[in-house]
Amino acid sequence: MEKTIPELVESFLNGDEKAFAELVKRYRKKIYSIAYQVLHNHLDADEVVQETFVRVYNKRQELKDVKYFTSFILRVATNYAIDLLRKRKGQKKITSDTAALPGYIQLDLSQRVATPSDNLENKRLMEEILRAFDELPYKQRLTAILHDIEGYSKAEIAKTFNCPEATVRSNLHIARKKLKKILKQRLKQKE
Amino acid sequence: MTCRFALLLLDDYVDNELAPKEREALKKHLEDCSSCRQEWERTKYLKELLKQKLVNDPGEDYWKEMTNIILARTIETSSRESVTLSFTEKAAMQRGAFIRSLVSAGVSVIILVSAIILGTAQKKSDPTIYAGGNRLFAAASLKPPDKTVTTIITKKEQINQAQGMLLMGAPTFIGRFSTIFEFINSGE
Repeated sequence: MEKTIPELVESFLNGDEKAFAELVKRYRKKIYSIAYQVLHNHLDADEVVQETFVRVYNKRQELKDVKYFTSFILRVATNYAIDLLRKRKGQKKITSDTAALPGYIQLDLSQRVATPSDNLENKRLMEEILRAFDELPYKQRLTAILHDIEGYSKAEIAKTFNCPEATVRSNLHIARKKLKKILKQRLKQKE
Repeated sequence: MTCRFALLLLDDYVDNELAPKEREALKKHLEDCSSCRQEWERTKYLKELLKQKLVNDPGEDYWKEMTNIILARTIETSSRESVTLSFTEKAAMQRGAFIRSLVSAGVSVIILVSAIILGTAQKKSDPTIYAGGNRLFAAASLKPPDKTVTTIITKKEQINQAQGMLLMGAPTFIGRFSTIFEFINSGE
């Protein structure tokens, strides 16, 4: 039978390295997805995933309770992503990459919204939403990504950012308000 | 329910996190208020839109390669280096090495001091050696030793001293160097 996350974390903390390898398999896509949505390019997302697991491995003694492993790994990942975002912001404007990547990691913005009808319209809308995401402060942006895109609960996000749930609600409300404003304009144009 | 309050509850309503009582109240408000209803529909639409898959999966080959890199940087590195030591473990190791070096330095000092004491003690107990003055220290002496004085030390005593020198090593050997000279001369 497949081990649960707390069981795997327990084994990992007791020195079972196979358990760590299994945790990498279970979390790698989630971390990549969050990192990609924050940084908009494959290479940076790849760096975030690698560094996150290396840091989790090296800082495993800091994990007090196996129940909070998800929050622990999310905190490591989001902190690294924010650091990278700050660094990149000083270097160049962040743009989403759709080219210059090996075939199997080609990312096409037009495929991100999988609605069969009105693909072009959705593509434009998503581009605007992604741009709006970039204008949000880091914590609001990450809150919206973690909650609305990745599906994490407000309690998990609060644990990740080490803040009260009310702050998560407030950040989410502000982020949605801003994104809805764009939606509103777009829908008005359409009418 | 006022529109202001309804808008505050809207996020939790969309997330299905409202208490049944508030949920019913808001539902009723949305039926009556077109402006709040529009806002609710926008929130719902945005949530649905964001639920869409935003990132394409880079593919199994990529994940395999990425996992191998991570394991090489963590598990394999740590087993190559035996262990990834924490700060406290490193400190304990350094403390152990420091104590070991202190102990060995202490033991060396004790050996050296005992060798010098044992080496010179016999000189004090044997006034005949001192009686010869600088003549006993043949290595440094410019004059040949006084044979009349050396004869006071018996052959047995000299053998004992030589055995002591061998047992105590170099420091004792230096301290009792003159007795060798006397031992050799006594045979003449």
